[in-house]
Amino acid sequence: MTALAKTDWVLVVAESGFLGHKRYVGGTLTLPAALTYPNDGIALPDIGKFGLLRQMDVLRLFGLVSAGETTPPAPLVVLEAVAGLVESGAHSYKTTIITPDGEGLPSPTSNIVTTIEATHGKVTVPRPTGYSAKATHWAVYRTAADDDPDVGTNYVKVGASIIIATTSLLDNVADAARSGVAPVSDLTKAEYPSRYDKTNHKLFLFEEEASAAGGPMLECDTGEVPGPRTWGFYAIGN
Amino acid sequence: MGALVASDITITILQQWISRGKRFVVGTLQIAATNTYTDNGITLPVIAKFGMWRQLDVLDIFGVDPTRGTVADYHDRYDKTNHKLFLFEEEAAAAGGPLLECDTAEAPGLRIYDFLAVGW
Repeated sequence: MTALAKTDWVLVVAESGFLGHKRYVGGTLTLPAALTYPNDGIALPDIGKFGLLRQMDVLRLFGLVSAGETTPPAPLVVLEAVAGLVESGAHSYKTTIITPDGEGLPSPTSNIVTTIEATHGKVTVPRPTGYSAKATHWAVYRTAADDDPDVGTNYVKVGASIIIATTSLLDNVADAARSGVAPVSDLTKAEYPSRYDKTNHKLFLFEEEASAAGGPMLECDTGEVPGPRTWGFYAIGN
Repeated sequence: MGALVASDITITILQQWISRGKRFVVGTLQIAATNTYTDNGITLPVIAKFGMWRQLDVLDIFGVDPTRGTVADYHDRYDKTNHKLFLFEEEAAAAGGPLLECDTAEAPGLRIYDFLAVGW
């Protein structure tokens, strides 16, 4: 995996104003998924992107932004009596809700359906209920034929995310064509303390260590993938 | 080693300004080397050192000097009632749960933090 760089941030300035002769800026900073923490801090977007012209005196990450969705109920999926590509065997499903702030946790496990490719090879998955007005998409995750439905990582994404207006998905995807495991934890349930390195305009993240020796938290190691993650921030400068 | 006291903390004011009836101060807070963490928080220098006259409403430690404290760090909280700085650390053989206050064997310095103070 590639190390995070300053161009990987998604910076949204939501408000700005003046504190005396200083400019104040507030907004969100988002780290994308699947990129690793670089040693010696993550380079931040240029200060011009924050709405500052000459210098950034203060940068504080103070908030966190979650997908803001409750976990959907267990889906009730329907085995269709037509030939299809879903490998013969027992399958179960989970669904998630996606907002501009991220993807929520997966639903509980659906009912189990047993497909037969030649005669019962497609499965209809209904859109989850109970999503908020922020929801833009939903996603479907499925086990491979006869995989253990109680293992979270056995749930792999079926196709692309689906726009929220679509009321169901007809699953006709082979096991090998699935891609991407279901979220297994809510990113708001785990967090990194951070410090701004003003000299180098970088953000340092710190983490708890396995087999901790006691003492201060250590800088994240380079195998850590901190995103996807969105923080609220404020900055002061000129 | 002795326990850290207010005179072991060096405050350097880099910028200060006034807006809407409040003083804003940006500076650095340096914790001296070798001395150890004080149980129930490190007493901070008087608020005048932070550029304040009457009260310090907010002390936000947001940054760190890249040559002094980026390899490892503590979680911090300002105790406004007693004007102290609490540091929290990871525990050996951690049982899970919140970070615990540093023990008195911990020597957090030499460390230079950036801070924003708001008050009057």
